[in-house]
Amino acid sequence: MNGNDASVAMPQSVADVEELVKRLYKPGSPKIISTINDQLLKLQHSTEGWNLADALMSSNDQNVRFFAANTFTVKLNNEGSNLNAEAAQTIRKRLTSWLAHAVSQHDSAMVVRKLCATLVTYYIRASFLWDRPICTIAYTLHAGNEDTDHLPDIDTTLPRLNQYQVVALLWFSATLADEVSRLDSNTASHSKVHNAMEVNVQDASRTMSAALKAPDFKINGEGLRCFLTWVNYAQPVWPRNLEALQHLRELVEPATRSLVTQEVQNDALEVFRDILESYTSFFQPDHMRLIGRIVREHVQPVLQQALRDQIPEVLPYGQMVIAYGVANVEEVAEHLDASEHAATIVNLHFDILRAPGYPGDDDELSIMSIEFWNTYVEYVNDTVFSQDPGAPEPTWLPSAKAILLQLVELLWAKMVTPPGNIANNWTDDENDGFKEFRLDTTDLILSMYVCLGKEMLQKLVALALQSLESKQWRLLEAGLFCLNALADNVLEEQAGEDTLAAVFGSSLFREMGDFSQTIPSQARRTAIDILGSYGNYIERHVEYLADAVRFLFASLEMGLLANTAAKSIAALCSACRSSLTGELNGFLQQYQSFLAGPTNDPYTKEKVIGGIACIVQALKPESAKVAPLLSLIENVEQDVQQAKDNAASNPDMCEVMGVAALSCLAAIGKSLQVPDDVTIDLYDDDEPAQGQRNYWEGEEAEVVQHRIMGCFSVLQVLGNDGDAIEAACQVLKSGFAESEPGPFVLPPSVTVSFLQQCTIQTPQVESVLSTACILITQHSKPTSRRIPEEVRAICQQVAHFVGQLQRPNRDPGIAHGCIEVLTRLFPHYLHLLLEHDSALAEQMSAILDFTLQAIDGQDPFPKRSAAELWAKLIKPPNVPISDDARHRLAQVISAYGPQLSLTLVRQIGGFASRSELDYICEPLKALIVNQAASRGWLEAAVLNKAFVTESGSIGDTEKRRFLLQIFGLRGEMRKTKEVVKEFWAACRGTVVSYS
Amino acid sequence: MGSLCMTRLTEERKNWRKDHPFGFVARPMKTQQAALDLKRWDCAIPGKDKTIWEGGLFKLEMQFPDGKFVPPLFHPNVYPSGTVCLSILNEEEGWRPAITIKEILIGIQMLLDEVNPDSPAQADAYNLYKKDRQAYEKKVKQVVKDNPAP
Repeated sequence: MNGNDASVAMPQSVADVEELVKRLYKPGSPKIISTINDQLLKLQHSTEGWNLADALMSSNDQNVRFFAANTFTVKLNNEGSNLNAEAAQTIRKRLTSWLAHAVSQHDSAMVVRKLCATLVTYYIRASFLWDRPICTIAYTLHAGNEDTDHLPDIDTTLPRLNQYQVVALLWFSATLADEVSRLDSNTASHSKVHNAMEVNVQDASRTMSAALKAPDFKINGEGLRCFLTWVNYAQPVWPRNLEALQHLRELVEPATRSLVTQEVQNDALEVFRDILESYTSFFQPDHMRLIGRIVREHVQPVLQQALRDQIPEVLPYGQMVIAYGVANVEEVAEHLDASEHAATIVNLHFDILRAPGYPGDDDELSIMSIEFWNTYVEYVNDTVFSQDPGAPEPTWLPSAKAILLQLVELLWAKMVTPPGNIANNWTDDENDGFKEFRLDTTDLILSMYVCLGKEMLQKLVALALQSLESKQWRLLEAGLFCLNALADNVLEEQAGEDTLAAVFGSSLFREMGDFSQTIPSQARRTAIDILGSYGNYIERHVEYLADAVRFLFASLEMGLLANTAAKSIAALCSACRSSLTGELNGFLQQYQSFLAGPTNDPYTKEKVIGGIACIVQALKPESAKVAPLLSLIENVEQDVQQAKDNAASNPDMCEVMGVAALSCLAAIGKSLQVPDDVTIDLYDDDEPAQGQRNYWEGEEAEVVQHRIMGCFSVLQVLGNDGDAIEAACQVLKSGFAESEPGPFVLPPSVTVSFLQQCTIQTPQVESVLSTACILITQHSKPTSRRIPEEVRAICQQVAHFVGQLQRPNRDPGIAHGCIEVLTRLFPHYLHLLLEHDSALAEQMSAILDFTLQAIDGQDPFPKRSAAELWAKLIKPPNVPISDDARHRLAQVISAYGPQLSLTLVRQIGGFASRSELDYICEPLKALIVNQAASRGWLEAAVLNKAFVTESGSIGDTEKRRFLLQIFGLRGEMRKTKEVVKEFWAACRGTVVSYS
Repeated sequence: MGSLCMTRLTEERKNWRKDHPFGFVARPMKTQQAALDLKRWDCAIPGKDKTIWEGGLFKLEMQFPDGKFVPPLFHPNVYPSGTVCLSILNEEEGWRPAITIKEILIGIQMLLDEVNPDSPAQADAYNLYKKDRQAYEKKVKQVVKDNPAP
């Protein structure tokens, strides 16, 4: 047989099998390996498996011995529970003696561990419970064979075992706990196995006790790992079994010896940390005291030295301190003055934060220590807030607050960003790690603020100002970063006002705005952020405003800061518009200089121009707005011109400039809207008296509107650009919201003619339709002017679109827009649809067919709108309509009732998706409540041959019962929906029966 | 809300602090009395790397069992009100305490890029998504620019 031969002969002897196993572990083609594997699997499962495994155990190749042990495991898993008592005992004896043999031969860990695991499988699978397995194994390891007649006590055997034997016994013991922990204790056979663990723990704990006390580090280490496995086993199984737990608790003291033995200290630290974190109550008070003493005497010095030396070995010591602190938070918080342990824990946590290094980079511990502080501060907060009102403050609270106040400063220092030479060498992971630390610390300082309040604010402000004074910009940045995090909480209370004054009244923004100084841009960005987060404060303290806005305009011209600065300008100008009117001319000039610089792009331009327009809005009287407004519009016009100039030569440039022009115009329009929080003063001198003309209806104002509308001319070159169309719609919408005439309150005809210029091929025509919808809604309000002529023109265009589309699914977006327009006709423009001389009379049936197709179609939005439209048509109009319209309406309903009923029934019968049923129910309910004829229509519909359901279980009886039910409910909302959903599910066959 | 549920939420808070995905924020809001309100959480979801949402951070108010983007987000599965249409947040299905806040937030982060076209919630984003994917992506990038991650 050569190595390339893919064929693998069926082995005829044990030697053949041995050869095959060896080949499995040699490099070879995946195909051969897999063929060998298949053959071996067959052998493992064969009746010869037991004998084969036993024979292979004596191989001199460890892979073969491992395979042999594995074969035993496979056999036990498959047949273990069917073995009779004799066979089971024979197999166990073979296994224990093989284990003893392997250990005596110092066989590899791989083979010994596998044999231990095999014996555990035997323990779990055999139907006869194996009494005292640990004892048996201990004895066999010593004697070489089981002695079933006389099994000496574990304490007798243990002293006779050598290192290898003890280690093997610990492996078996740990595997036993680990494997049994995976068994669900609710089945009878498993519960027997779990019960026996209460006996096994006695032998295990004797073994571990000896191991932990042995003068042998290897045995100590294995003893610790075994101990952890048993504690993990005990946690879910023995929460109230104190007796069983006691066997393990007695091991705590011997285990702590490893905490002070250098050679096994790391193992011990890991085990104790694990138990402290996951099963704190395992340790009794005296255990905690013992561990606390060890932390103080043995962990503390090593940790402090390691922190000083900045060596990575610091980690397990730090983690131990953190875990101990979290587990003992009550003592640390309440007994700081009396308990040495508590003081040690707090000081060590301070040391961790004081140590040099950057979180995410060379400081791994600080980020971990945040968990301790979170636990600490939440303990303090929970205790304080769960107290009865009027109860005296806990005596320990002042010292806890003092600790937290110290913590503020340490966290601040840790949050300082690294200098460029370090930051530039950081990988993404290091960057992310540092950001993560800042984010987690933000969460922590928010909790600390709950406890410390104003004191914390004062501390941070003092730190920030101190850094500002000494021009330590990165330290200042960290201080501002913390202040940003607290903003929402600080602003909720008035208490912080005077403290904040120290920051906002300082030279902060003047220094930051002085670009002749080298200041890290992160510091400037955080300074910009602070203007955003404390916007409400500045709004109340306009004396600080000018510095702030000047700083922002200066930042606007710096590449890295431009976007953030532009956004802040927009926000601040909007919030403080009235206070900035004096600065307007300066800002207009600064805007020009910004336009001439490299940072002007569509985004920044739009934000800043919108911001300045907010200030224009605040000017009084109205006539004062004209000049600055025209100056802003002039900038838009320049972009419009550039777009036109580039139309032929540079279409990309044309698009960028044109869209930017319209977006800026929309931003101006939006900013000119009267803010929601401004109440209209009826006695304002500026308001026209009744009958007097509003300023914006005058000739002077017409110039402004004329210029605004002139900007739309850019659509001559961008009429097929979706973004431009969308932006133009935004301009139109900005005027709709106004209740008084204004520069952007354009005549409705502008919107109408815009729509008229569109075809169904126009990109974003949906936006234009939705703009038309808003126009109709605005002119349907009780106090607004009715515009039937314009709405009629809109309807004609909609009818035209419908005619071009023919079916809603040709363009569901436009179909939805068209149907939406029709739903807005209710109630004031309904006559445009109905009266016999209406412009739509001819297209009426095409439109209504279209809406029925929409309900019947797959597209969700046309379906929803069309269902709403029909519900409105069927319900009696809520305003008086002409007799002619009423007559036409009745004709429409009776003509379309049967078809509508069939369409709705098809949807309810399984065509609609479940989430659409609520929409479909609306016209159905309207029919039931308002149309006497609907019973006949719906009955004909459900019995119609065209109505077929997916499920065979819905016959005429069920359909009739459904009708009876919904008519019985008379349109009652919730129940109708329930009945419809049940019927729908039955029709879809997702429920077995419909009853 | 029952005390069992509150215990569960306290546990949630602890687990979140110990282990949360990078860039996400989830923190109970403050009540009037300055204590933490475990029923209402301030959250923030970062756009996933290597998607058009990368670089954005989107604020979400979680009021179990509802999630709401504040301000409303341009996305086919987010209602015009900002309410997020995710089956695991769906009121009808109920908030199952077995779902952790981490799973909910990661679920929403995935939904950002993996639109569910069978369950549209707002017409604007849905129509653009269906009709002109390029324009949709351009618009999303604008949204990201307006909501940058720090």
